[in-house]
Amino acid sequence: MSKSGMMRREERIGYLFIAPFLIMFAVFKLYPMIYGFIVSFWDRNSEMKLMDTTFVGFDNYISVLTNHSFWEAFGHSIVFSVIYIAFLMVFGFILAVILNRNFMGRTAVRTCFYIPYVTNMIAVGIVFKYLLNPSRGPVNAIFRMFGADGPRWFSSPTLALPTAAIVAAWAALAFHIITCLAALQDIPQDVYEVAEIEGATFMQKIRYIVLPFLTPTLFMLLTITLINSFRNYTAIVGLTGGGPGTSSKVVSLLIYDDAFNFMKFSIASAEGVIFTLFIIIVNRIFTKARSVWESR
Amino acid sequence: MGKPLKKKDIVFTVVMWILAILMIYPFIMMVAISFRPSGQAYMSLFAPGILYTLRNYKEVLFHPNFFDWYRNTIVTVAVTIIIRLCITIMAAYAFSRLRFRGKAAILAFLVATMMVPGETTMVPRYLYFQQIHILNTLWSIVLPEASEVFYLILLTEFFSSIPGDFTEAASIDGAGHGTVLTRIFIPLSGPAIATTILFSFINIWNNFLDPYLFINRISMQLITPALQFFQEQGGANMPVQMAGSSLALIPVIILFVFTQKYFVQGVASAGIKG
Repeated sequence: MSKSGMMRREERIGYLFIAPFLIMFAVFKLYPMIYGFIVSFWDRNSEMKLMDTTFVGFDNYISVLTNHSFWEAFGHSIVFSVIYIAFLMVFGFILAVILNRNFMGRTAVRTCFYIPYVTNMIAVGIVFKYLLNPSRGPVNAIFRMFGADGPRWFSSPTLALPTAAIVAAWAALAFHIITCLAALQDIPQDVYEVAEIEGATFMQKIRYIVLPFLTPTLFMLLTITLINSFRNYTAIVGLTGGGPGTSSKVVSLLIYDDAFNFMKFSIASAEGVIFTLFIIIVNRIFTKARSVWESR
Repeated sequence: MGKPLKKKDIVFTVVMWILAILMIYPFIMMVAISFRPSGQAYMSLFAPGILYTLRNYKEVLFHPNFFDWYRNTIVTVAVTIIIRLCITIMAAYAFSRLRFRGKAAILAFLVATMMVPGETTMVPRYLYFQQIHILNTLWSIVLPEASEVFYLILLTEFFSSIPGDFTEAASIDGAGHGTVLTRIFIPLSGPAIATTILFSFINIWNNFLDPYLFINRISMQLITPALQFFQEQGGANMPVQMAGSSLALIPVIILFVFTQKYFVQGVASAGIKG
């Protein structure tokens, strides 16, 4: 067989092998994304219009962008993401550094740190609503031992959202710890030895050895966490249900409510498209920042 | 660093163990309360006079749909993993070993779609699945889950790390790509396939949003979203909720403890590639 014939055969086999995956992807993943875009230009905004396909231009987008509750939910999503990302980046790194040291039972201790990652936020929510119960939960019992009443956690309009973000981040810690640990183990041992001889303190070692070595890993974690922080529906439903009132209602809950409680499917689709665009833009900015930083 | 055991090291070890127990304290409480009568739900872990009972588990297990939920979850997990492995392994082989036009572009496009969270597309997915009549069936979970780009990347990266000599030797012997894939790649990919199965199991078992959206019939529901039924039914009955949660979490935790090695490998390799 000629060389180009071989190539063409390889190419055919290549397409054949990726076809099942691509077909499933196109039908069940990609098409719904495109369909959302289409629905957002229709007028399916009441129970009477569930089959409606009238084109209404940017009407849904205008009504979303001029709606106070959208911007409120948008703000909540950003607050959730900022707290969630900050908690994970800081504690993931610190815990990895200390779990990298040698001590008795390190493997078992690491297992304990990973377990929350494999649990689901509905069960976690049930437990944390118990632990953080303002009047009867064990956490506020500690506050009472010191004569304080303790915060109202999920029933406080100001604390519900930050608390939910921290609990969600706590549950996700394992990914950061494992990733940072893997990167820490790649630091050549002799670098530490030199630092030891030079008499570097622990903080100096972190500052001049660990952080520079881990920067690419931390940037990558930041990008992944940024995207994950918007997958927050289950966490919010499990922990606060969006309340009290609408004080922890994030965009994903708004989309759900608008679609399935108020039958505004086109409005909800438009919200989805706007929020997706927002995520893509933020992600672009991060990627840009990362490449600028790396080519410094 | 064979230094003698210092006081500092002992303190460090103790602190680490305390942190570890704090990490799993919520789950310890969950299991502890699940054995208590409802009146004692808010007593502390070792409070004197605590009674233990199996009544909460009885109530959960005797819920008319409990075994439906468990069965549905296991069936969904198993079917999804089988389909996912078949189509993903084939595609990963092509992406890592075969040359064809548009390969890099297709892969880049697939990776880019990972940015779109399921949260923002729930409405069109619901409307579309309604149109193709898969709402209220397990297919509404299985079919969309089958093609996850994350696992494609995981397996593609793993296949790429298999040395080329293996395949060249086989090609010279006249083996086709199907043979190379099934006889060489799959047997060599045990760890990557184990990681895929483990991650799939955990993610599908814990999936809330999709079954919550797409399945409205109580007997068709999966275990994680079904936990809400215990919350609605007895808002005050904390121990029953804890028993339900325990039964939903424990299979995953046990599986995890025994397969941690693959889990750590999977996260580390997924992480490092970025």
